[in-house]
Amino acid sequence: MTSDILKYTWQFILLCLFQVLIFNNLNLGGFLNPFPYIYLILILPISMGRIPLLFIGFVLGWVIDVFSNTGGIHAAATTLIAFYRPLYLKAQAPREGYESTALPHLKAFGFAWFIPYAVLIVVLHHSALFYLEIFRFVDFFHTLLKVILSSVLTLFFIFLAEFLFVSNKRR
Amino acid sequence: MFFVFVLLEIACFSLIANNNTFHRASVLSSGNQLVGRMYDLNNEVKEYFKLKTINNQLAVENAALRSMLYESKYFSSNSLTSITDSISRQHYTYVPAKVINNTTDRRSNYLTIDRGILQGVEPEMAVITSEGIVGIVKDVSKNFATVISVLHKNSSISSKVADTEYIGSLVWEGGDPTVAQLKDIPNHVQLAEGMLIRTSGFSAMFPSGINIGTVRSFEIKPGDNFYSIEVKLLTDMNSVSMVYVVNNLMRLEQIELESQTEKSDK
Repeated sequence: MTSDILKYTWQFILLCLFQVLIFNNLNLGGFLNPFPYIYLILILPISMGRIPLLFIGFVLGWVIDVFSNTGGIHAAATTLIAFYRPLYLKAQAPREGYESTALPHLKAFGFAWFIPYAVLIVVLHHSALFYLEIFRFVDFFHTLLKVILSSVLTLFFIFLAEFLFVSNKRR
Repeated sequence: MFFVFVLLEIACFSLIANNNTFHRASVLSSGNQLVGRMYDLNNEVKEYFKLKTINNQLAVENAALRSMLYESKYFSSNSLTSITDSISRQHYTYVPAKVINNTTDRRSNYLTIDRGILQGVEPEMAVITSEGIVGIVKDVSKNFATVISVLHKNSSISSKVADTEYIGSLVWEGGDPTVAQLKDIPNHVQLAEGMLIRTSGFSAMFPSGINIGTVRSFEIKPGDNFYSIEVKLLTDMNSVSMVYVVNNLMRLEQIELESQTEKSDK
């Protein structure tokens, strides 16, 4: 349990550092802003309580906000996906329920389960984020394109992390 | 559960609303000491890769300054009487600073510079480079300051078409970080591509006559009394590195007088 807390704290710090120092500095034509830091929300244990999850989402987004001068738009978006994740997991639960130790990883649940899970959460986060950022609907399609392209790039990094850092044995 | 969610979202939105008020002494922005220290470190690495361009810029600027030296002037008159200058007074002073964090890909972009209150930087001061304008100081901490970039949705800079007296405001409609839009120039003005756009000096922030950019294209939308002008910015916002913070010594005087006039108008 303690080692789990340590592990996730470490991942929290690492993801924030990567986001702030590397991904925030990628300058790919204004349309591609990947936010792979939300990987943390994806991989927290399925059995995790909803309210702790909400607070982790809030704090994670807020830390990114502080470092990127964005007020609270990241916090709003990550809180939203932290709220949505348990609802999605409940709707998708197998008949006998999840194992109490289950971790939502690609290698544990397979592509057919993981892809819609990751895509929905990432797209939800990016839509909330980019529409909050411009805060109006004038540039609707411009922003939509931004959401789609950035989501693809974020998903690419999430899958990369899944392949590189998640071993086969762990579930 | 839902209640906690709503509560947290309300907290987020108040953070957003707070951040949008134009000037505010903030505790939690990258003007913050710790964050600033970190960006400083990050920047030290990045700067190595920019050394060559920075050197060139500095050399060009040195040359320009050298040409202003007393020695580089030619005096056609033979008289060598010295005159104490009581007419001109210092109006602006400049604080050199280094950009340690910068974005150009958002709708609202900010920069962080490594000078703060201790070096005399205050909110609402203008930030320029030797090429053009950069933005306006937003928050300051002891040793750092955040700057609202020209590439910000609320940025609006009073500017004029060089050699004419027509005033417009320069805004940024998003997208290309090398191009901004100039509004409010009436459609009877003779424009040409390549014409220089400069600051008007009407705000208390920017001195007049600082270069902004050149006219890239212009058109009059049907039924519109004003031009839609695209301005190619002279500052390369992607690679801006050494900047000057402009301290207008008479800024307070001007602002106080103007607000007094506005108040008595109501």
